[in-house]
This record gives sequence, structure tokens and C-alpha cells, in this order.
Amino acid sequence: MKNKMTSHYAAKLLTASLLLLANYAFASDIVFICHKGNALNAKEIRTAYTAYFDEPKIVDNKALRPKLLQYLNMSEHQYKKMWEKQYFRRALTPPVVKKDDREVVDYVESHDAGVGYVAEVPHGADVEVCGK
Amino acid sequence: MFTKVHLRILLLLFVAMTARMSRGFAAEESLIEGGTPLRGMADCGYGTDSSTDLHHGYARGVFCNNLDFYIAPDTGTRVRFLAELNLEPGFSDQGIGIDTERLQVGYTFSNQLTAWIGRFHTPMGFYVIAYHHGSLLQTAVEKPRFLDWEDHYGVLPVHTTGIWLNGQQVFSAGRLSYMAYGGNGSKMNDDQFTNIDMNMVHDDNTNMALGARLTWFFNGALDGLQVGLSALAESVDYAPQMGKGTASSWTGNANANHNVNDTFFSSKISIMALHAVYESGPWEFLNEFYNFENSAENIVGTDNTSGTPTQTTNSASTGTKNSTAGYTQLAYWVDARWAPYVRYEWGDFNTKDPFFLGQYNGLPYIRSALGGRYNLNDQSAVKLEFATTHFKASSFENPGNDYNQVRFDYAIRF
Repeated sequence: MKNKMTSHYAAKLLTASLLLLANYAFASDIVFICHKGNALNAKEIRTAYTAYFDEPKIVDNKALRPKLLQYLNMSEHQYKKMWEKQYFRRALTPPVVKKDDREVVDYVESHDAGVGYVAEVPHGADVEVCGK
Repeated sequence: MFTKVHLRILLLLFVAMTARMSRGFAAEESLIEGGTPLRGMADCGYGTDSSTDLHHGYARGVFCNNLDFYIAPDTGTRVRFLAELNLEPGFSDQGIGIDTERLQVGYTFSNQLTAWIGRFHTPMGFYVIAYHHGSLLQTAVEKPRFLDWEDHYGVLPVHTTGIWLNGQQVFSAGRLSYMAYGGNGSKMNDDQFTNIDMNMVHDDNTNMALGARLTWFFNGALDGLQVGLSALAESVDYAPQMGKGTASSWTGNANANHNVNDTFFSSKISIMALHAVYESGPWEFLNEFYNFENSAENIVGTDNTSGTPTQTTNSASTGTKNSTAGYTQLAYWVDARWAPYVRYEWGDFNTKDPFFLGQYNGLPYIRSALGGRYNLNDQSAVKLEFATTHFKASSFENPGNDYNQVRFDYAIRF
């Protein structure tokens, strides 16, 4: 009986660990890209996406937004509310939404202070991987 | 008048709205898909109060507050622009007026420095720049009385026309936001009731308004907490067009001598404000404290009949006068939709300070409010607020009658 209970808890622990790992992998499964020569570090990227920086022109990747929210540890509701507030309070333009990696890369390439995130950097993209 | 019938109507309205329309909560909100978003806020509602003061009549019956439009187009990486136009009904004539609430053009040099020129919300404390005309953004129905807009007889200059520098620096322990500004000093208006005017078109004297604000945003375990210090100094002149009283009335005497002696003063106001705000998870805890060191000069009565200025300096009104004001507000979001809240606020305004006593809402008071807010979806909310206001003095404009108030408010943004 005791062994049965132990194995039951062990199974639960294993499941939780796997979920945690999967979660971690999921959250880190995006690559931040910056306009060439204008790379931001991890802290700056987080600051930009939490609506505190004036300078970067940041872009949202519609297909990957759940992963960004996981990275920021925010819900969709909190994320949108935060941008609405900063748009009203500080005239900070919310991120432009692009539908996929290719559009995000195009935006970052063409904007001096462009910052975005993709699943993987397309071959030949003229951007810098940043946020490290 | 505040009756049981009114109360029942309000409660029925509130319950009906929250019950029926909560189904719409899943309404989708999107970030910008392209183009320039024109945003706006508006609110309408129903209110009643027990005041016998005609001035509070605006809060009775169905009301429509502001229709506020704002736009911050993408004008490139460094060029910034913000315009906010507000259509609001006048207090007394109930006609619609158009107000340029904010009109500011800016340039971002870096994340550490953005410079703006134009008319902006005075960077002072928390509430003024966080909510202002954003009826949906603020949890409560009413803003703290002393922070109300100038044309609603708020006693502080909550708008400034001038130059505003701001920026921020990120540290491992948190983030420092800093702001400094200079602009046209305010003056006192004397349209119907005396109120403060921010001199949007040009300055009326050579004294500039100068101010600064520092705020520290915590990281880690204290994430969501911000603590700030603001300061503002300027000189406010009062030159009435109509007789409103004499210097003697500024001692707190309600016996005004209308249209015989007009009074001129110049008041140097010095404001220090502290704010501590915690917004994290379900908690919303707002606290602000204002300290005023005002000194009035040149209190002169003018004989309207002869037009000859007559020195009637009242020693009780000159010199430095200290006043305080503040509020504490606590809200708890039970879930993403529903939050009860309480607020206690006070304005301990010196009744011998011409700057306050010269203004309609410059009487010392305390106010307690209890309310609830229900988000119908991300873009709308209904709120119900009960408040009681007690005045500690009266003036020649304001009889200072205590009153209770109930307000139902339906706020949206788009």
C-alpha cells in the first residue's frame, strides 16, 4: 500500500517537473531581434515590451504572442491594459501587430529602433539577435 | 433630493447591467493592426445628492460627462505627438464646450530623454497623470475632489502649457522615472465661480510655473510598487472682473461686500506631493499627500466706483500659509471584472490663504466614498459610488453645506 502511494506521488512529481520543463522551453521558444547595430539586452527588451521605453519601435508577432506573454509573465488582459494606459498617459504607441516571422523581420529591418520576436530568424535576414 | 426611490433606481440599474451584460466580457480587444488608432472615452450615468447648494445640481439626474478623444499617431522613431480633445458639458449653462485637454509635440532623444512642448497634464503626484479624463481607467466614479479639473473647480493647476522633459533609467533594483517642466503660470478666473486657469494661450505675468517629479518603480518582491516625490512652484494672480468680496472675507468671514471692493492678490504657491501606489495582482492601493506653503502678496482692494486702488491689506491673509490635502484609496479585484473600493480624502486648506479661499472648492473638507466597479468587458464598466462630504468652513461663494451623494456611472472606451 505504502509503495503504491509512493509511486503515485512520484508520478505526480514527474508530471509536474515535465510540465515545468515544457513551460520553460515554451517560454524561451522565441528569439528577439533588433535592428542591426541597435541591439538591446534582456533587461532592456523586457522594459521595452512592458511599455516603459520611449525609443524602441516594437512589433508584436500575432502567431507567437502567447509565448511573449509567457516570457513577460503577463496575461493577455494585463498586456493590453498596460498598453492602453501607456498610450493614454505617455503617448506610447502600442506595438504594431504583424502576422508572422517574415513580416516581423521586414519591420525590424526597416525601422532604426525596431525590435521584434520570431520563432526563428529567417535565412538572410538583416537583423541582429538580441535580448541576451 | 436623495430619496429611497433614487437609491432603488440606482441599485436596480447597477444589478441589471452587471447581470445581463457580463456575457459580453469575452469581447475581443486588439492592439494596432495598422493605421493610427483614434481612442476615446466617455461616460454617462445617474446621480443624486442631498446638497441644498445649487452648485452640486450637476450631479442630479441623468448626466453625460465627457466625450474625450485622444490620438498619438506613429510619427516616426523620434518625433512624438499627442492630442486630446474633450467635449464636455458646461457646469452652469449645460452647453457643450470643446477643450484641448492635451496638445503636445515631442522629440525622443533617447530612452533617457524625451522633450515635449505644448499643453500637458501637470506631472504632479499620481492621479493627475494616471487617469485625468480616463473615466474608464480610474476604478472609482469620482476623482479626489481637490484634484478635479480646473473648469470643474478643482483647486490645483492640473494642466500646464510649457516645456516638459522626461526620461527614465533602468537599474537592477528598479526603474527611476524623472520629469521636469516649466510653463505659463496659472491665474484665477472669475467667470461664475472663481477657479484656476492654466493660461493656455499666453502667460498673464512673467512668473513661470516650475516643477519636477521623481518616481521609483520597484522590482522583484515589490514589483507593482511606485513611490514618488513632486514639487511645483508658481505665482498665481487674481484680478477679478466682478466683485467677489473683500480682503476681509478671506479671513473666513462669509459676509462679502460684492461689487464695492474688488480685490487683487498675487499668491506664490509651493506644492510638495508624495505618492505611494501599489498595483499588483488583485490589489490597488493609491495614496497621495500634498503639502502647500502659499504666501499671498499685494492684497489690494479696488474701489469700483472711483477705480482708485485702495490699500486694504489684511494682515491675517498675508504671509505664508500652510495647508495639506490627500487621499488613500483601496480597491480589491475579486476577479478581472469586479472590484469594491473605499476612499478617504481630505483638504485641510487654510481658510486665511487667499489662494484657496478665493476658489469655489477651496474650503477645507473631508470626504469618504465607498463603491463598486464591474467590468462588462475590457472596454466598459459600470460603477456605483456612495460618498459623504463634510465641510469645515464656508466662504462668500460656497455655503459649505455637507452633503451625501450617490452616483452610478457607465464608462466606456473605444
